[in-house]
Amino acid sequence: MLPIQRSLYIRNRGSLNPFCLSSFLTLITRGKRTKANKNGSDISPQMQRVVTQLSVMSARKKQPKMLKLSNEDLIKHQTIETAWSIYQDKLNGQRTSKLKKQYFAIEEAMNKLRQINPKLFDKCNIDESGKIFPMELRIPTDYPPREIWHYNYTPKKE
Amino acid sequence: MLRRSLHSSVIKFQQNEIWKDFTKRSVALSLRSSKLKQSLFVNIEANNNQSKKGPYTLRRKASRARYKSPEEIDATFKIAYSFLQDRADKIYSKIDQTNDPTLKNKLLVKAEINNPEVQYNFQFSDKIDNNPRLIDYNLPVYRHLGLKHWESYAQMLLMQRLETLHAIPDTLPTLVPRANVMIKFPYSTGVNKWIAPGEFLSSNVTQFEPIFKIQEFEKLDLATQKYTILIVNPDEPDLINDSFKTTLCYGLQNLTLDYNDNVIDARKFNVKDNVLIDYLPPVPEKNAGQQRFVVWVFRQPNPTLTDTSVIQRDSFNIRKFVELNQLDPIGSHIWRSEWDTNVANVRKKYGLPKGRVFSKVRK
Repeated sequence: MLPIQRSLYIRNRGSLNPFCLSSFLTLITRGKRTKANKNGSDISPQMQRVVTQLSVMSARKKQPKMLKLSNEDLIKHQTIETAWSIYQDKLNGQRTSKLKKQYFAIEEAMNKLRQINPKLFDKCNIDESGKIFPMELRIPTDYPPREIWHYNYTPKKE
Repeated sequence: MLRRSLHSSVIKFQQNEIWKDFTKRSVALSLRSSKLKQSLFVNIEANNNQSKKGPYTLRRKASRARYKSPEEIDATFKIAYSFLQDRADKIYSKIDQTNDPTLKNKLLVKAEINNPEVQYNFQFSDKIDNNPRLIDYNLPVYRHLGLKHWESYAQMLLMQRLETLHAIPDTLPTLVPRANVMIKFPYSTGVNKWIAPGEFLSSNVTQFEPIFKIQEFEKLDLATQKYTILIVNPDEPDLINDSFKTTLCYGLQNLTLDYNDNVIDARKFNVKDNVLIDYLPPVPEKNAGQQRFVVWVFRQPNPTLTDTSVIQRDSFNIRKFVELNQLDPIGSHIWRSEWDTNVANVRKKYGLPKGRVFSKVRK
């Protein structure tokens, strides 16, 4: 319940910002020369006026307004954030302990393998750094490919 | 009708309301005002219409009407609260099983530090002149919060002042600060505030002995623990040796404290048992420059001081005194004084001789 509810809270908190200029500003790329506009200004005069006004305004005014919370809401906010960070810590802890268990299980298995069959053990420990995913391996798909088999394909000779 | 629900069957919090139970827990862990409580837990408890009225802490009706809480904050807070309370409940059951006092103290802090009521009490009430109903320093959690608050500013300020004014090592080699020491002079002198370390004070303000407040943060047996307080002035001109000497201005011994009731003034001690040496107000001489007055607070290893033979007003050796009595310095404070036009009045009041006037060329 906590993750869902928190994401709702965070999303709605973001929408409270009275000044949301980011979406507007991404529309305008100033000073970009295109074929259609050889003079360098591809925005309409109205838009240009807005840009000029914004450039005159100080940076502080363009910042989103700081949220003013009442004492109760501040405490509520802090409680939510603490609960969230504790929850995340818990998840991280679980993940790390699981990985640790996996690692030790692998280590144990490899030690056993070394005792039982050293040849296999050496084969398992070949350095594979720099090895990339084989291009000829096909990713499983819902339908067969249009060309079922590449008859003329020969792998690259090294 | 079939309705879809969000994982409601997956996570279920236990309904152990440990933070609402005050049979075993102190009432200082709860909010004082029932209206404020309603305002904080607005949507948690059913059938109250606080949400329509707006937050209780906004006093003006107009600002309450204008105020808009972040959306979904109450529903999210409800879940966060039950999540944290559930954890606290587990920690409390762990506390019942342990016998180790330090671990118990740690767990008691851990169980309550995320309680929103505790956080509210600590953040929005006076931490120095504390009301024990709201901030009770007998409780480990408030001591922990108090320590963190002190460390965040006042402790650093004190150490900076002690070091830049060279109170350490001029009086004692160093200080590992553990208790918050504050001083205040009687209101009759016109300055009614806790003095910031290193402040310049006029001789009028300092003419009567200060009031001390010693806030301990560690778990101690305060019923048996005794304290010693000294005020020394390491800047008394010593013409014979062409140097300076230390004067002992005030000395108190065998003082007892409490976590909450820790202001030491004339009501807390008597002259016969507790006063090592009477108060000598700062009376700097003209052109002698600024003088530092350093307050030292010590924990005594014994209920009484073992050796008070070195106690003397003039040329006091504070290091030797500390060494002889095995005192443990836990806190300090400092203020500065200079000659001003009122010094003569103070000298007259205490029957002191007329002060010298120094000149650049020694006569």
